[in-house]
Amino acid sequence: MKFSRILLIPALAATLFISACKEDLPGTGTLSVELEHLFDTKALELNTATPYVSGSAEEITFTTFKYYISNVRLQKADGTEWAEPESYRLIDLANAASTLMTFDSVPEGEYTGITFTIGVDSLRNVSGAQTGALSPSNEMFWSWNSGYIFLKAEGNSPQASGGKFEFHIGGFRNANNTNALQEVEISFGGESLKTGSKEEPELHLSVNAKEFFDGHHTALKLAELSVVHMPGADAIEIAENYHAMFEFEHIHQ
Amino acid sequence: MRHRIRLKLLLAPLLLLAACREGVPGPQLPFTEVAAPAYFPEAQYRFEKNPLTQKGFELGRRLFYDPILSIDSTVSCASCHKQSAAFSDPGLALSPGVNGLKGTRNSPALFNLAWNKAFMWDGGVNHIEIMPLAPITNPVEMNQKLSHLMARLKAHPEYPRQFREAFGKEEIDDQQFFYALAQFMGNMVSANAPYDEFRQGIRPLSASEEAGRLLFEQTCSTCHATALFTDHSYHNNGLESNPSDTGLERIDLNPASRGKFKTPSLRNIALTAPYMHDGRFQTLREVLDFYDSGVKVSPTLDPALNAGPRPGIPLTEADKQHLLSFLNCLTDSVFVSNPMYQAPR
Ligand code: HEC
Ligand code: HEC
Repeated sequence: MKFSRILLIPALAATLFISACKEDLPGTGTLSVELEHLFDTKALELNTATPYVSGSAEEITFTTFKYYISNVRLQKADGTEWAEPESYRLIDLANAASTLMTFDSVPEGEYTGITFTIGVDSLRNVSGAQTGALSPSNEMFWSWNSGYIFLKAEGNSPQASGGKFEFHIGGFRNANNTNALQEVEISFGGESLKTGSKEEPELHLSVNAKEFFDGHHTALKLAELSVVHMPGADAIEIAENYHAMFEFEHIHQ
Repeated sequence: MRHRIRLKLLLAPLLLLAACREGVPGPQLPFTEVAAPAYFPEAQYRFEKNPLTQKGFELGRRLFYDPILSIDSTVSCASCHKQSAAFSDPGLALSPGVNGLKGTRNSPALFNLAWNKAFMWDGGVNHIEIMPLAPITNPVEMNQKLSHLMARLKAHPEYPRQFREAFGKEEIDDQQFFYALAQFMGNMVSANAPYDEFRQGIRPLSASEEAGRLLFEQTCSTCHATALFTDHSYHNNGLESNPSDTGLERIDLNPASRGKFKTPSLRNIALTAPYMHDGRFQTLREVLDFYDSGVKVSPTLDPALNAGPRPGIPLTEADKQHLLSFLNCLTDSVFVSNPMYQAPR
């Protein structure tokens, strides 16, 4: 942002005062990012009658599937980047509205890729009481071992011991190999996304929960591991798996 | 980012006029931190994002004493943390929570919490503000979902007004709830023991107390350090281990942390029996006997307790008497009867 601040401030103040607070700043626009949740080729839903089947031929139904996307950045072809301030979102399959992410005041331009963190950066894990998406009321915070749960997947499977699985994945410290933070970089495959006051771009990303089980790291077998409730090696393996969930689909301009 | 913040500051009055912002400024009375003596180290929690006010402190105090925090409205923070015992639970190794259920650890005393780097016997909680989340959600303590509790507070006849007066926001949220409790707990300062009068040159120590002090400084203060009597670190002090509670290892997953627990402060120690993370010792005399002859060797035993010909700290009968005299100088009778920390009427 290189425009003159001194001139801009009174002008902006006036605009904001008159309009209803939600408007984008001049020279910026809105971007919508739609997350399409899948399990392989089927739509991912909670409490399905027919189970999904993992690569290890295990049958899976989900009762909870939620995760944090934070510190979203958009890249331009010239290598510059826009980073959303205060960028924390809780995506929850039980709350359909959360799968459509809206970004206001994205500077006008053509973008070629998006990067974000799955989870919550280490600073916010140690900064006391937070609000909004980061509020502990969302039940994504460990009370006895302070830190955010980055992704929570719970459900049923006849192959899991006791018929249930519960994965609470998190961990932000580098010591003793407990850092499960994942950075995702997605390129728009040569397409570009235009933002501005006259544009209404929509970016579609798919989120394939099958990768949670079959991602690039190891095949997760519920018969062998069905509960993770703390940071550590298991959490990291699963995080490396679900890193592969996100893929670019298309852009509607 | 910085640019945005500045913009917001400039716009704030305009936006308030336009009533687009959630905030309605509440009356904020000036209220100061309880002064700590100059010989205390620097505090960790300085109320930076959570400015201390009379209303905020009083709200925190009310919440601390209110059983509404537990699922069946039977247990308050003060059920397990009683002021008369420096906010520990006197006489009980394990305190009952809802339905009389018990956990595995002794209720620690609460004071000088603003100096803590971490909380709980294993340091698992990293910030004073989110500390209450642990007892509230623990099934054997208050067994309450935070969202549930917020709904209760919002529906209460008085809390919504009290929150508004303290924080100037339209609606109660959990951040304000945690802020209020942090204002109360963070302002619990205990620094009025006879030992403090000695430090301030007001009262000399007796011969036995002085002998105890010297011995303490030679043998105990490596861990029970500074005028806070803790190094805020973790040690295995040689207690017979309990495989189901590995202490710090549970948090940092490091086998070298097995059996290490947070060094407790020894201020008010005469009031907070029983002792150790599981309340295994009934008296200070038993604690001293343990340091003298009960210390168990293990791979993680602190080197300070394994430096002599045999493990532990050899203490004669006279040494023990002197140490007891000194430990008794650490009782702050002003703190345990200060009306500021009593249940609101
Ligand atoms: C059922 C008894 C019980 C209740 C109720 C309870 N506590 Fe505790 N409290 C404990 C125990 C036991 C510990 C130590 C837990 C551990 O180390 O695992 C503790 C630890 C703490 C600590 C950490 C102290 C330190 O020095 O590390 C604080 C602070 C605290 N409690 C505050 C509260 C507050 C605030 C409430 C109310 C929201 C509360 N407690 C409710 C039993 C209780
Ligand atoms: C190597 C560090 C270390 C040394 C040296 C040490 N302590 Fe401790 N002390 C601890 C730790 C750690 C605990 C908590 C252990 C636990 O509960 O697992 C503790 C607990 C205690 C307790 C119980 C406190 C409570 O609130 O339950 C007392 C009393 C005590 N120590 C007194 C002493 C005295 C007196 C000395 C010197 C003779 C001494 N300590 C030397 C580390 C030490």
